Amino acid sequence: MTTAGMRVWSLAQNLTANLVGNETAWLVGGQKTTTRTVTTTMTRLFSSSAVADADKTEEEMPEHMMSTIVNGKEIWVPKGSSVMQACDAAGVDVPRFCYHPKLSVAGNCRMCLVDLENHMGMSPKPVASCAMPLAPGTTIHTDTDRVKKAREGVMEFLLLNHPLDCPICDQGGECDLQDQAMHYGSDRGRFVGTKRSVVDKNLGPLVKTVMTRCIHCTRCVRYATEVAGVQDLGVTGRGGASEIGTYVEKLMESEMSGNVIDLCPVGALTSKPYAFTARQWELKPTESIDVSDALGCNIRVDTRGTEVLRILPRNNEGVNEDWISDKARFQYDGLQRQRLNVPMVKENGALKPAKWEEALFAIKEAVGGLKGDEMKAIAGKLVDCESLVALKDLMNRLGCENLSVESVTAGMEADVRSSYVFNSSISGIDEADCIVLVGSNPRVEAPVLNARIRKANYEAVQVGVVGAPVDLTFQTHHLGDSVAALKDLAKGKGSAFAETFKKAKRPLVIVGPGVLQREDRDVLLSEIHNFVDKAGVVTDEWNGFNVLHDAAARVGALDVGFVPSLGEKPSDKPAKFVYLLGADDFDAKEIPEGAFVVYQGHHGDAGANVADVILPGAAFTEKSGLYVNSEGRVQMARRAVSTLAESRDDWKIVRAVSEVLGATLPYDTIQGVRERLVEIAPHFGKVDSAPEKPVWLNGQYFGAHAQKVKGKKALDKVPLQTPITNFYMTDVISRASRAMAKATQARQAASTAKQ
Amino acid sequence: MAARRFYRTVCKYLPTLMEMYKLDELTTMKTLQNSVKNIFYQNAHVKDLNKINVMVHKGDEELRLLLRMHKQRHHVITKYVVMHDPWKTKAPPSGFLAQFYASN
Repeated sequence: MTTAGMRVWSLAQNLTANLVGNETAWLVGGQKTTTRTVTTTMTRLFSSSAVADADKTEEEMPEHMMSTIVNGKEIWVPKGSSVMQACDAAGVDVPRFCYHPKLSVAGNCRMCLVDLENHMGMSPKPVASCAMPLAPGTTIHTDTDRVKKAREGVMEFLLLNHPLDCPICDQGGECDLQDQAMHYGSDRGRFVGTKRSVVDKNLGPLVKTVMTRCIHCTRCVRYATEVAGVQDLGVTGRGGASEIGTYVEKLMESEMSGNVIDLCPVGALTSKPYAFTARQWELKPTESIDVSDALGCNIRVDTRGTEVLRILPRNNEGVNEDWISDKARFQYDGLQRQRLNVPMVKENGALKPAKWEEALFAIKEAVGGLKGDEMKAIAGKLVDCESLVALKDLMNRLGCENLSVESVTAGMEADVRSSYVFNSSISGIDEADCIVLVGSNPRVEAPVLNARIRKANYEAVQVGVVGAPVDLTFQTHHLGDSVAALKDLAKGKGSAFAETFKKAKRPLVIVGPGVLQREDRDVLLSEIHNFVDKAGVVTDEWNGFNVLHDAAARVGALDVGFVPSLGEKPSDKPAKFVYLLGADDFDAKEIPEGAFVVYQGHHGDAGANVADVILPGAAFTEKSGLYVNSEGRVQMARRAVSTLAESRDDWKIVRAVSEVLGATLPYDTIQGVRERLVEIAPHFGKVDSAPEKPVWLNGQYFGAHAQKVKGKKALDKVPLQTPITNFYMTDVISRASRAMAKATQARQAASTAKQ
Repeated sequence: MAARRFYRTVCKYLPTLMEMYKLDELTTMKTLQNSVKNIFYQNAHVKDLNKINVMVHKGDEELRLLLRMHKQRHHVITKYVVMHDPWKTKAPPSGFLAQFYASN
């Protein structure tokens, strides 16, 4: 939080948010940012800090900046900044416990006390810098004796009731209290007596509590109410008797509850699955990408030896801010279970471990003499783009066009990118002024995205839902179960929400993954497009048509064109050879009776169950692979641990199969594959950068599309809904995870208890 | 001459080795003799007397180690009771595939 780079970076994004009541656009560093036309809340007000160009003189500084002096150094900060932000901008460390840039200001830990001075002289007592707006003509001192003494005093009070169990505390080594006690605390304590003790709370199978360690910063309480949107945590009691808890014992019913572990500055809230496994200095961090949903949250994978020991979020304002979902955080123990680690070949009805040579030879025998239209390939949820493009090239070389992506009705087309990505980009949600969800429940499809919508809702953006009613942790308007509801909405009449939608300048429509899985998908999509055209969701500056996916590999697969080529039709013949690339959620009828099935993947699940040959691949933590998230951002998952036993990188397996089948692919290095990816879709060359807005061709595209669906009708009786029934178990990794099984159980128990 | 004498010595000790290392569970006397013979024939092209003498000396050393049980059973098995690998004899068609079969 204290690095200057981050501060400068957040300047452009949040600067205008600091201008209370000013609704014009500013040009900051060449980038145009526009304020939302609603009142800016205190959360946003204090969520940023900025450094101005120190060389500029007073006359050159823009009107919205003000100057102050921190420890004798002059600094320019945006008006409306807090004293703490000014100190941060000046590079002066101010210790803190309760302040967090993404949460509202509580000002209750009193650790950030500083001295202020103005024309009246020194402030009568030290001031909590996080909650004090910076006034003109104020000078800040953080190096006075009084500040030093105040910090020592606060620290001594905090340590009065804090247990001395650091050696057995999971936070040891990464504890704010430990660190700050070393820097700012007194060298000895004066306390003799009995320390306070607090009964531990049971928040469920993911978050462990040792409440005696709590210093009452209330970050978790503010997080739960403001970000996660569950009113589960609170403070009970007063003074020395106050406790953080759920009042009556209760599960913390949030899909993002794990973030309180990161927020907790001490060891009061820690990870249950990670408990007592490692110390932070033993771990090797790897920056990677989460694949549990299609948001592509940025994560850090902490490993020791060959084991993934924990997963933590990485900040990326454009994608996940500071948060990740519980599935992303806790599913890693699934990487140890049900793994496929040797090739297997079916002999006499039973799978037997084999050598790679034997497995590939068995595939050669099976494919020998088959025509292209007798083959088929299905790509799964967690596949990286390199292996997708390799398999597409291989199948096409064999003359096969039957390529499909799992959990999407056959006939999905990938010609127009803007028809299947999140066009407004995820940060576009912050700019939207009215949101409609069609057949989507982002709370389970992408919880972090839901938190973003919630943030917008917090700032008075109304959210309408078309489809089965859902609980999104905030107030929504239910508009109807089917797309018929969109017709009324396009007219802008009938309900208060419809009128708001009509007035909206930046309306947002989010189409959920459930729509793509329905039999009447094409009809639905063309109806939604009619609506989008009529309601003016797409203008020259704004594209509010968004598709939210539920699988990390989906957009990547469509981007490389893992569908039948243009003008080609998938054959109607039942396939005799099926290649499952990590596909486990396929429909049983997709695999014809008697077909020879090859399963390439890392977990023994549904796919391996029907396979004749199993080729063990690598999980996302074991290989370097590109993934494209819902908004079309290309990000790289990096190798954190080595591959298991005999398993290999997935693209290498496809490459080896191609050689054995005599259709050798023209690349044999990862660079070669990535060059091929760039050849197909140039955006694969821009890893980790914000997605470009795809060209909007959907008007023409769906015009032609309308011919195809003429005469067909939407199945109105089946309500639009999310395909996810259990948030915690959606793919092979989470299904193999013990932590996720426990979370499922706890959630079920909680819902039966409610009834 | 030295080589022939050494070959006979080895053959004389084969039954002892067979018993010591319990090789009868894995192979027969005849196949073992055959594989020893093959090892000798592999070096048939060596004509330099000095080289032959060195090889005989090394072989003799090896035999002594075997007889004193300084080697363990799996050493003997991998070296002399070669488990024939049909996939090894086929040369992989490319560098990529060879590397792929060997490791990730």
